[in-house]
Amino acid sequence: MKKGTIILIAIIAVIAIIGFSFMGSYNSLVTLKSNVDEQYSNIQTQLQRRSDLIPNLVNTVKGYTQHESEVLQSIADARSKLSGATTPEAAAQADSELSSALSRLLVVVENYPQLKADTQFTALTDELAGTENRIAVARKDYNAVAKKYNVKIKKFPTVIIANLFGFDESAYFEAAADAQNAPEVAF
Amino acid sequence: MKRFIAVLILTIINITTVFALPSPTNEFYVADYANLLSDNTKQYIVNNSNALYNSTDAQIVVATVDTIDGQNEREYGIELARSWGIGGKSKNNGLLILLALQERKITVEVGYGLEGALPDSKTGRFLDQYAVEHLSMGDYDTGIRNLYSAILAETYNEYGLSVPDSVEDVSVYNEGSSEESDGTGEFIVLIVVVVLYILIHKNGGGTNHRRSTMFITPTGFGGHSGGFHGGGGGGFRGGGGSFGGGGSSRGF
Repeated sequence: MKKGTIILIAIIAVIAIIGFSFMGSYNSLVTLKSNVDEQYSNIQTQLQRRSDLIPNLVNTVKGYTQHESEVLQSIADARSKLSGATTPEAAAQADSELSSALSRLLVVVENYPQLKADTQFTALTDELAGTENRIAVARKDYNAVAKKYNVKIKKFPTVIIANLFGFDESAYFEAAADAQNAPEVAF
Repeated sequence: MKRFIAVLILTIINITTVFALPSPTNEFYVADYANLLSDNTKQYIVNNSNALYNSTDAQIVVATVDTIDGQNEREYGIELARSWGIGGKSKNNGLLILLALQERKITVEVGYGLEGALPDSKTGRFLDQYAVEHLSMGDYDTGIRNLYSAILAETYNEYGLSVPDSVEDVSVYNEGSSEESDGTGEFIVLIVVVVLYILIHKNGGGTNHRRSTMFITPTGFGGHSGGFHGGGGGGFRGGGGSFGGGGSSRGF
């Protein structure tokens, strides 16, 4: 075989190898990104679920309490803030505020033994607690896949494909540090 | 040098044991690490969970541990349930009952596939009705057994199957509850009617007969031994696993 032909074949082989590995990287990025999207929509589902439960809870509480309008109002505010959130960070922030407003409500409820004994209230708080737990789990799962994806798009040589095809970093679903502290409840 | 290696090995073992979750037992369906259950109850659980798995692919596991190292019982429960891969692979219909002795917590973790039958309000109600009183008095065996029976019966109902005789009927414990007054009584009646309707139609098809014979024959202790069937999520893969955080817990 002519020397030129051998070199040509070698070059084509190298290009083919690089091409296939790029294809592999691209495909795995697509998979990881769709995992991230799936987990994010999972969080959205659970947040929506909690949002739907809250009016019932508030009404049940209202039925038993006369003077707790402040706490109930802060729940309503946090809830509308959450539905208006557009980015993961904003959603995480609003979610954190809503969680702390709800836990304040549960502290307040301790003063109303009749309310605590109401079976509908118990059922609702169980559902709410379950939903909060689901949100926590969905958040953890999301952050795990987001991390996997973010690490992959930064590693070499996948970083080349990532930049070429516009695979951007995913935001983590985390609230600001100070929002994690529940506010003091004074009686 | 030898000493250094020895210390290194011990350190590694120490670290891994602190973070390691307990492993499933050979029988899989019961893991009584806190030694709270009688042999009779353990056998009852294994037999019935095996029967349930044979007819529905659902897995109900009972575990007791001395301590969960102060962790949140829901978080620990879901880690354990995922790690043991409880629940059929395609249906994700697993359920874990976990009791943490030192922390005095009991939790029910429900897999995706069973969330319809056992929403959080129902598992919470079951915990209140069947478990908490016994557990707070130290009668762990009865509390867990009754809770397990109630959940099992509910699961059979969900699949439209008749509850086999091997499952103890704990509904007698329901006397005196005040639920009926807020309309749930009528709702329950409606559900019963629907289930009966389904059952009648299924019996007409004849397939139910074949299944009912499988309940009565216990597959014996460790019938599915050879390790855990896993079947389910097979551990946390970052894709969500088979447990999404459904269920509820109570302190006692």
